[in-house]
Amino acid sequence: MGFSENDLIVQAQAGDRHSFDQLVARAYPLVFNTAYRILGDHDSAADATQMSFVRAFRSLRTFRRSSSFTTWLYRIVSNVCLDMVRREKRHAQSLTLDSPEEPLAEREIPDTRALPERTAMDSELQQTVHKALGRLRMEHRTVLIMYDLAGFSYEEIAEMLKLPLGTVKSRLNRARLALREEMEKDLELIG
Amino acid sequence: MDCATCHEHYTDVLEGSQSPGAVEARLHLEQCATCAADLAGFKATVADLRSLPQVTPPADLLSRISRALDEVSPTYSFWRTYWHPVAASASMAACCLIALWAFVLNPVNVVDLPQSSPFAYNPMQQAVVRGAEPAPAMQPQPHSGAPAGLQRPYRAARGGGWGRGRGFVRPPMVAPPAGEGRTPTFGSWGAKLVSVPVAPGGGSKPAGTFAAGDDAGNVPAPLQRQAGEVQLAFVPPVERPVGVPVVGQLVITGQAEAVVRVSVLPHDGLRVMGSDQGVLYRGEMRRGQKLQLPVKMVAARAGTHRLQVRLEGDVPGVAAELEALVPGFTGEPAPQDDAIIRLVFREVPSSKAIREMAAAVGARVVLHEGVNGQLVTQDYSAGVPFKAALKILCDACAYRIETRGEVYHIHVK
Repeated sequence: MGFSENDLIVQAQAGDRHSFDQLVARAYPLVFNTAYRILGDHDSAADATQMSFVRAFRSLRTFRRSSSFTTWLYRIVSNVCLDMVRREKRHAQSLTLDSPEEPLAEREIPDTRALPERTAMDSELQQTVHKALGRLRMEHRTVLIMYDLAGFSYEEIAEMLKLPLGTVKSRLNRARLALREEMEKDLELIG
Repeated sequence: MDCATCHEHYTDVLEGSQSPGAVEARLHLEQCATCAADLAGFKATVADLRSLPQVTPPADLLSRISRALDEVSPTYSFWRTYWHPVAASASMAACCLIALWAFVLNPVNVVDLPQSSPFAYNPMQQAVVRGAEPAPAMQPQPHSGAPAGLQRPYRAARGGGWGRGRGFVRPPMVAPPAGEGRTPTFGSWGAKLVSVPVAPGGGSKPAGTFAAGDDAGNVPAPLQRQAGEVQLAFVPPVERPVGVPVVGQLVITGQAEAVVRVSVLPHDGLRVMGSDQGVLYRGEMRRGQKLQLPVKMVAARAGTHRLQVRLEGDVPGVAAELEALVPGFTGEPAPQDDAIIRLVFREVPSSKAIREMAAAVGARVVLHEGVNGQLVTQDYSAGVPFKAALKILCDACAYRIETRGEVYHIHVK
């Protein structure tokens, strides 16, 4: 029988690196997808995934198992992505002084359609959704990814983001409205 | 409620919330065609978002992570760099000594098994022959009516469902290939676990054919059990209505030869149909073969459900686990409160009106002292949710509603 997640965590906390590797193998596609939707491009998402697991490995002993490992990991990946976006914005602001014609949004979500190996974005609509998602405020983007893409419950998101349940619900509604607004802008342009 | 306030409750409305805001928003939506159309657009946006596909991580990402972990794990690196070769040499020497003792110096081994025994050089089977406790094993059931070696594993017709009379062939228990004389023992043995999570928004892959064996008429070659890597993926149903059986797909690919057992463990609110005590499939998996197992499921409530899938093989390395998240189940059966009534009362005693409303939706009401023959005129012909209609009527008559369990108690204020 394969080890349960809990067994692996206990063994990893006791210093068993192989068990942690197995946890990584199970979780990395989900972590990568979350990072990709938050950051918008493959390379940054791969970096964020790597950093998230390194951070998780370093602080594994502090994980008290009061929440699920996935929830804990998501909190880490969200923070890593947030840090990266902040750094990117700071960098972009300094760049803007030299190249004001290059808006930040364009750098955040590069158009990957021309790259044949990246076949995930296989429709115009999905491309529109992806780009609109990338233009949302970080707090909106995060809650949409957690609820609608990763499938976490309100309670889990509230725990991860350290927010009251009601705030998560209202933020999700506002995020969805904002996403629609952003998508409509693109669709009007296309139309 | 105005339109802007109604927009704030779209998510509550879609999820069937019974909060006062959601109830009022529904009332507003009944009357405001603009908001109703707006809600449809909102719902489409959510569906579009959930349709975003899963993105495949770069092929080298796992090894990159592993290297990065090596760097931040000084103890581990030190071990690998300096002590690992020493330990390997010591282990090798120990193995040689054990082998020398076992095959040359220990007389029991030489007399126990004849050279012709198929188990002669198989340590596990030697243990069985000697009467040692074998590992827990699944007992495969032979497929009725055919010799074990000629059995044709499960094959379902394209488009076949899981119900009777729709072309479904239930997966038989597959016996080990003839002549191998081996009972599969499932386990992980420090397996390489590779799992691919569900695409949360659903997939558009068509239901395909599940073929776990060769074509009809061909005798399958004996399975050469080999360790390797196996991957699990789950494609959720495209439409996910609550209370209606829907079919997802479990996709198994592997570079290994093994007898595998695939089991599912649905979590709260989700029921998987057609499994044998959670076991969805037992049978052979061949190198490079793609198994597609239909997973028929029914959700009892809206929202996200979880499904734990476990694959176990009878050789080392063939094991995987996957926790599939299936969000987006919608259309929860309308609770009693939301059942629509379309009654018209003209100068009708309030007690009679309340009883008729309750009878129309099967609700239970208790009328307390003072709730009597006050005449009311109410028109719900446009269709109003029961709870909202009851509130309107009670407000008009200065009654108070108290809910105890599923019973509505009506008092005079």
